[in-house]
Amino acid sequence: MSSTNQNNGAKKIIGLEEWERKLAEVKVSKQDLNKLIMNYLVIEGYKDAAEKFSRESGLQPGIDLASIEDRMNIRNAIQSGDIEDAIERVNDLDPEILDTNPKLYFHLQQQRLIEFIRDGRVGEAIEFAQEELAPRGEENPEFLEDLERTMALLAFEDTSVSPVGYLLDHAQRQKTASELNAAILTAQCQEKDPKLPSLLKMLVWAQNQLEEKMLFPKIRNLVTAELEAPAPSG
Amino acid sequence: MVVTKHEAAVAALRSSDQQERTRAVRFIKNSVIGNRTKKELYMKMGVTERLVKFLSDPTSDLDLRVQVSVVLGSFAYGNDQNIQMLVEAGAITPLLATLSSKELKLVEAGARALKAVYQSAHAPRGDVVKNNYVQDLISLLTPNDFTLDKPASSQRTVPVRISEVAAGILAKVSLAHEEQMHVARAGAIPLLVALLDVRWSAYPKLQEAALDALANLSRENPTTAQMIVSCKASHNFDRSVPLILRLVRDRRPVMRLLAATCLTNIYRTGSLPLEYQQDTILTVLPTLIKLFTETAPISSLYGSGWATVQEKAPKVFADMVEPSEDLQKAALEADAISRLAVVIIGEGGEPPEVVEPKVKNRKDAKKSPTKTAPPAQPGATCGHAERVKESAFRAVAAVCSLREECRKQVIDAKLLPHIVSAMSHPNRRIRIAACECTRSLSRSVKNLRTSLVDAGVGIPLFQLLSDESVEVQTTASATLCNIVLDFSPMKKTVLENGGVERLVDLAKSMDDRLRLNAVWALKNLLFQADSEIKERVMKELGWDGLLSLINDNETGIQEQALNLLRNLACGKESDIEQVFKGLGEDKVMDILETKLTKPTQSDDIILQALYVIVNVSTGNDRHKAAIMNRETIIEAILGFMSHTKSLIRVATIWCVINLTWTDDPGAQERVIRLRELGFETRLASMMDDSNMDVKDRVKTALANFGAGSDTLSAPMEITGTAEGSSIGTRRSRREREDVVFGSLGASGGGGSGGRYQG
Repeated sequence: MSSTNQNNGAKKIIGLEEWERKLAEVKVSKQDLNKLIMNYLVIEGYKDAAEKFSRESGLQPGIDLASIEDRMNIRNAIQSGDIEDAIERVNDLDPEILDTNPKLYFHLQQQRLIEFIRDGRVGEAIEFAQEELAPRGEENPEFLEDLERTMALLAFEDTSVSPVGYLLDHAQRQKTASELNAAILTAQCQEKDPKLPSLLKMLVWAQNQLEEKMLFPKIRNLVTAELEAPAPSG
Repeated sequence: MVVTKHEAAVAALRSSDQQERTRAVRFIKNSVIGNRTKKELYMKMGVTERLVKFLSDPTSDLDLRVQVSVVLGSFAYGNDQNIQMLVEAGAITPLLATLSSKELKLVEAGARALKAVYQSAHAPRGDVVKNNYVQDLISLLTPNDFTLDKPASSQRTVPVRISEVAAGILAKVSLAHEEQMHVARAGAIPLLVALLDVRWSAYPKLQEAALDALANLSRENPTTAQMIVSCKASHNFDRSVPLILRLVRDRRPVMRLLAATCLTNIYRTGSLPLEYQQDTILTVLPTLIKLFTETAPISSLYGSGWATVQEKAPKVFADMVEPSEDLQKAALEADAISRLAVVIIGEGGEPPEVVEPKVKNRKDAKKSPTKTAPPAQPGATCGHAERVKESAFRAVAAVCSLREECRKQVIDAKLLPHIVSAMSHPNRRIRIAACECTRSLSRSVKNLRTSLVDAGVGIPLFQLLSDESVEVQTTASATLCNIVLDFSPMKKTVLENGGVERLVDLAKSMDDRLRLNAVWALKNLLFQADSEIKERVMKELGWDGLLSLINDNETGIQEQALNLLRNLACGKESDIEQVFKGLGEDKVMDILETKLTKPTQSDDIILQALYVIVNVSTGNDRHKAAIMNRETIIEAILGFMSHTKSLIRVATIWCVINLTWTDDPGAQERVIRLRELGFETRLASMMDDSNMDVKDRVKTALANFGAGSDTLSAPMEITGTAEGSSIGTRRSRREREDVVFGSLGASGGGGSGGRYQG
């Protein structure tokens, strides 16, 4: 978009028609669009959709599609609180991930501890913390604070009043799941985030920037992508 | 509870039921991955041997062997000691055997385990080169890129991740020269270069592994470097160098580092085609400089501690600029030194960290933001910070090894106090690197006289001569070579602190480099020294000691020892007398005769032997006679007058000039004798020598032969054109001239001696 205009007093107005004509001049290749969609499907984990899309568009997914399913299963395992299962699965997928990410490994073990506490298995929780987490804290003192915070869960009968009660929220599982997901994607040389959302963010930002200088047909609803004609200046 | 779940798992390994065994191995696998304590626990319980047995047993089912390979690989991610135990348990051979399996799951697990093992520099690599294992690895370098329509051929399709691991292993086993040659001859290079093609840009880790392999293959090996350079990525005829250059500009810091390493290694071998040199320098140098503060981790080293780009980039930079004055200038202009200063000193320009806690407290009290190097990666140990420092000091030493303006910049960047303080760092490698900085800085006369003295470099340097590490001693003694030069005020410090005694000790060391540096330093110490210092050195070293150095196995040491002898014989008549007394007149002549008549003698030794003669023949009638009476020596001098090297021709003519000096008693007889032997004719034939220096000296020599009254004034003329006005006698004038050539410059290092402007 190369509409250059001088900033002289009143904002310049571009009407719908002119705007659409200008937009029509911008070339976007079909191939690029397909790649963006494939990128979204792969990273967000829509394995079947990616497979079908690949077949219909003739675009290579750039990754072993089976690994998407593995990744999704691992994410689901954590979100349902089965950390042990998630660990076994990630070790089957790529044993280097947990051997080379001490912080991630600690967070998974921490999540396991949280799950023990959630289930009220106090004895097991304490034993697990001693056997598995304490040595990690010795290796990396930066982990100690997290460990202490988690152990503090045991101090309150009613965790809803505990200052660390948030650890039992689903958001904590979500956080752990995202960290592991990101590590798997990194190991597979994939981006951590799909590109499509960034493009939409950029669109919103660019519109706001432009709005300061001129009035133009703006997309307000990203879903319909409808161009709303500029209101006469008020 | 007596039996823990881990003991139960170990017990289940003995089960006769395959499935139960496999279950047990899986349990062990999920216990040890990511968990150092568990790795050690299981290794202590002795499972390794049993697991190796399962792997080697052809009746074991596939899943069991896959699981076993993963466990062995995970053990290797612990530390060097674990790897040692794996080696002792015989794990390497069966792991290597998995590489040729038809089952890719097993190949992948086995290859990953091997990659982890070979990350250790201590893992024995001999086995890989043997048998067909390299071939197996190479066959894994042609990946399939997940096209949905699989090729109809029945060939196995290797997933990209296995190719990545295979390239990673090749990188780690191509270190020694024979290994590089073996891997290259087996055909790895074209396949590795092919992986650099844009086609594979969706797999950056694959490309990084390939670059790592190519970088190691070409390190100090012109043959393999040439193979890389002349190689084309097969399908679109792109040459390898532009492919690598493109990756130097990649988004990923690790990719940039490895691509820059690869080109640096190729460049250093001299194999980089001229057409790419400018481009390479303009791309690689600024890239490396920017990476000085890049904290991204290098994945291949995760297991054995953390490595970051920041640790490696300055070392590669050092490799690049170290041999070239032009590149050091370019680096200076690209702001390399101030960026290194940021890494070493920190943004705020903090005073150097000093070991005494007192100073630390003072610093804390000031509440100054103690911001040193940029924040390290989480999980980075203090070992990381030290490696960054060492690497940065290395870069400083390299960038100022040849140019005065670079040295000035290092001083101006206020790095010197940090360098001096690092010379007493508990980490040996930091001490070496800091000492190398001092050595580079000491190649400047100006620094020797001022900055280095002000920074108090003498005492810490001197202490390093007795360091527990031979490497530190070597670097320290090399630095000392420059420090003890006559014009350096630190010469006194060395003498007063038992320097002579320590250097003599080192001159008797078993280590060749130490011996060389020590003799070199002693020689420099004796340059234009007064008789008192000469006496002190010879009292410590002993004439026998000198003699054994003159006959050392290393020619470099022989050369320095002869140079030392020459410095001993320089000066007063009594100095020559001391040498004759010490070694014995005949022995002196025997040495010279042997050195000058040995068939394939090195030119450096010939030159030093000739200058011993030059100096001895400035002595009295008897000293001169000793030389004249040895016909072999005289004939050798005559022979070397037509040597191809002008430096040697000049030396021979100085011999003649001194032997025929007209004021000295007995000169007439010597002139007659030399004329008879054909010297005058030879001299006359050299009047049109291509070398100006030779030509000038020939005139003087001919004048001594009394060829004509008009040339008799020639000696005066020479004294008149002497470069130093303070130099009075002709004797020291001669000596000074060649000692500047002979003794400066770093021992073992480049010829920076000529740069001195004293």
